[in-house]
Amino acid sequence: MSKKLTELTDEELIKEFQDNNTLAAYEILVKRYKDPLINFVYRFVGDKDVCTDIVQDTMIKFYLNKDSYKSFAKFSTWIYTIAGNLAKNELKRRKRRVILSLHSDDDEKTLQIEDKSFIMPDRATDNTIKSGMIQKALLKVKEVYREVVILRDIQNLSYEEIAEITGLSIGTVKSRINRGRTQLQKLLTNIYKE
Amino acid sequence: MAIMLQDDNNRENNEIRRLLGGMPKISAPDNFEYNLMVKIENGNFGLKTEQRSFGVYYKTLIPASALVFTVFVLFFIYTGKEGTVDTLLVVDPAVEDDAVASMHDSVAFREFASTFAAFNREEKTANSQELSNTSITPEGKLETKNNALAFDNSRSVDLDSYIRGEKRFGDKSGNKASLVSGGEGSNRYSRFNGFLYRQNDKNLDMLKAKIDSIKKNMMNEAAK
Repeated sequence: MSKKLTELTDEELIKEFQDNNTLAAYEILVKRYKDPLINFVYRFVGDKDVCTDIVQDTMIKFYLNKDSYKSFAKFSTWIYTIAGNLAKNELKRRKRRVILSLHSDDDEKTLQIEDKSFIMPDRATDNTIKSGMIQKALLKVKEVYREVVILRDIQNLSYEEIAEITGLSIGTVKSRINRGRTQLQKLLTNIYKE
Repeated sequence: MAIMLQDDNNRENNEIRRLLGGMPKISAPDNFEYNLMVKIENGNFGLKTEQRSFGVYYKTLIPASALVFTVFVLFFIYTGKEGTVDTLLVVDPAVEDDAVASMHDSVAFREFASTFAAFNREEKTANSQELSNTSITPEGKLETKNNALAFDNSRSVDLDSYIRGEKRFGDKSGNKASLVSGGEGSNRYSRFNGFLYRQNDKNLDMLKAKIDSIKKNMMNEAAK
């Protein structure tokens, strides 16, 4: 191969990994996507340990099912779809756990949301406090709206990409983003009016 | 008015977008790639999130499955008929009869049956001749005697003289274990030499038939 692996596009890298089982190509893709995926999953689930596990599982699924990727799709949308599905499964499990549990999990949930490794009140600036509050508000937005809002406003993906990841039409994506923002706006009234 | 509302909405949306976009980016832990590659190299593909899901449900799944199993077993115990449990060792009588009937119909079986019957007849004749001279000793052994008398000569007595008291025999050894009592209130014993088998009538019949045929022959010759 004339080009260096690092110079290849995502699609070229996965093709290399598919055809020649080149582990270096896989590692470069992991390097490229670990942070965006961690950020996306953390904003969606709200627990750093769990989000690391989810992204690890996403990468393992990618490794094991590399052949299920078809070259007509963008690699980014494919990997985001895997991560999004795993994150949704995690949230479903949590809901079931809350229903099945005889005692209240409120303390546990608070701990999961307020990840003190991220927000340290002693050294927190105004921005970090605001970020913590936005994150809390974001977790209160309905799941279907939250996902698209994060993908659009935090991950800066295009409507087309979001439609491909979620399997929705562009119109539905746009309306869901709007509804999500409106919900968030209500929750954050006090913050953004400051 | 509508334009103003849309403007307001856009302005608020922009504000939300600005707030969301300004949130700090979360990055993966430093050992993320190392842990991942270790998992892959070790072939440890057990997905953590899926393992966790089992952990959540095993407390309910195990009792539920145990309950279902118990109900299943009880259902078969109380609703099943007795003796209807199928085992490989038990053959349905109807099936067995059919099998035996079909076996009896076969030519090979008929040949075998006739051969077996002939062999049995020969064996019985030989046995009956042998048994006529055979008795069982107190030790349980078969004893073949050549003499025609039922009892040992030395221990046999003429019944009339015995009743008259002319000839008696006594057990010098004093061993009464093999003697049988000689009558009511009697303190005499007779030696028990074992049970006697009844002589087979067939031999007698054969002898009679032989005698008859000889007689017939003699009469025929005399008539000539």
